Amino acid sequence: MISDEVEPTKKKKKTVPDELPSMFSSLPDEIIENILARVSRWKYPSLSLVSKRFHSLLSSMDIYKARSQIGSNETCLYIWLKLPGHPCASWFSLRTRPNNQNRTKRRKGKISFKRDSSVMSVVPIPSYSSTDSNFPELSYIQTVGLEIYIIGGSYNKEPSSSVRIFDCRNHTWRDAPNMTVAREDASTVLLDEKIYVMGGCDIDNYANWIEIFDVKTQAWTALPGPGADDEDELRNHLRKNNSKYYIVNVFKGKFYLAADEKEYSYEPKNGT
Amino acid sequence: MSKKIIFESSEGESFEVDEAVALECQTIKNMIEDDCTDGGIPLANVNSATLTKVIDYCKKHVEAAAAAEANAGDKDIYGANKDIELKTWDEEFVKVDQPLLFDLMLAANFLIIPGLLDLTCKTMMRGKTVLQIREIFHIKKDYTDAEEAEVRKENAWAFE
Repeated sequence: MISDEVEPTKKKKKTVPDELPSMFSSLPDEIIENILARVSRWKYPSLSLVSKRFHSLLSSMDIYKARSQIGSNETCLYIWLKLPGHPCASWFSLRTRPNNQNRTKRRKGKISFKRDSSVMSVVPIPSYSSTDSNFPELSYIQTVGLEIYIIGGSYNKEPSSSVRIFDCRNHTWRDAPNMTVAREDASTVLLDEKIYVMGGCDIDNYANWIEIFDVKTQAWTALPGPGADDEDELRNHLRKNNSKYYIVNVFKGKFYLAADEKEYSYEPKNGT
Repeated sequence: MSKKIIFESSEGESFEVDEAVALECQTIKNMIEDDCTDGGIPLANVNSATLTKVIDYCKKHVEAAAAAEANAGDKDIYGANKDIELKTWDEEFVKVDQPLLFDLMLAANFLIIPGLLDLTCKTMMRGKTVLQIREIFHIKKDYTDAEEAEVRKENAWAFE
């Protein structure tokens, strides 16, 4: 058996029982990853129980690289729910329960609901950190590729300038640089790999009314809001309504705001 | 008359295959391109039983690709049927005992046959419980009860 340890790639002659124990353990990580990357992600928690090695392989980022390499995709729906009995809303992903499971046992506090014959259940997404389990309310959510950006919003009723990014591949959170202004209920538009965040703050915070996050460089730049003139109609309107109640869209590099009955356009390139 | 390539299994048995079939293996393809296949290719880590299966797989897929090409002009329902047929064939192909499946996977990895590697890897864990995986692959449980409880806690939802 010692030879098996020394030459892990050497093929074993079939089914000599004594030789088998090293069979799987002798495989390089790369092959096990290859196998695990082809298994549904929902099985990872139970597969982690097989051994410490499985657990560490399934917890590393490499498994998600392997998954993207072979193109194993799973559709996953993320929802933000406030559940009765919980102080704040949290993120969940929605999954279909495997049909073969017998669901007669019901544990206290389990969250599942039945619809037709298929059973769906919500799975809590790990909270942002162990010390801070709050998810902001009234934040703006923008999805960029495989990531979800939680921009601003209010924590305990205080607007925040924080930006958090959720990586849908490995279900982890990370921080993006903060905005210069705390915002809640801001509007955002994604354009050319840049996230434009508008409003959600006092319009007289004019110089930074718009901030732009470059997804590639992960850095912010600020733009002044519309209407350099203090008496500008749109600016007044935005001030009056506490910068709420408008719809923003982007077309050919220009912003279009609809406020009240009026529509405004804004060209970020030359600031008009 | 197509060129033949000779494989030699770990037992020293010779297998003659068409070059087109051997080209399914990326590793062999490189060797053929480098022109170093004269006198046969010794595969010291692939036994005869495995090699027979690997050649079967490559043959089937070369034939299927050729058939698909022949039908490429008239993309009709038959083209789709061929696909399903090949899939069914693949599924039957991996209905083998675990050690052979394991050997096939290693051979596919070594010879670089992406389709076969994908197929065997997919089949490896399918529908197996943690206990079965430990038993089949002879993996020792190296968790203490406390450690196991910790791992369960990480994703409590999965064990409800």
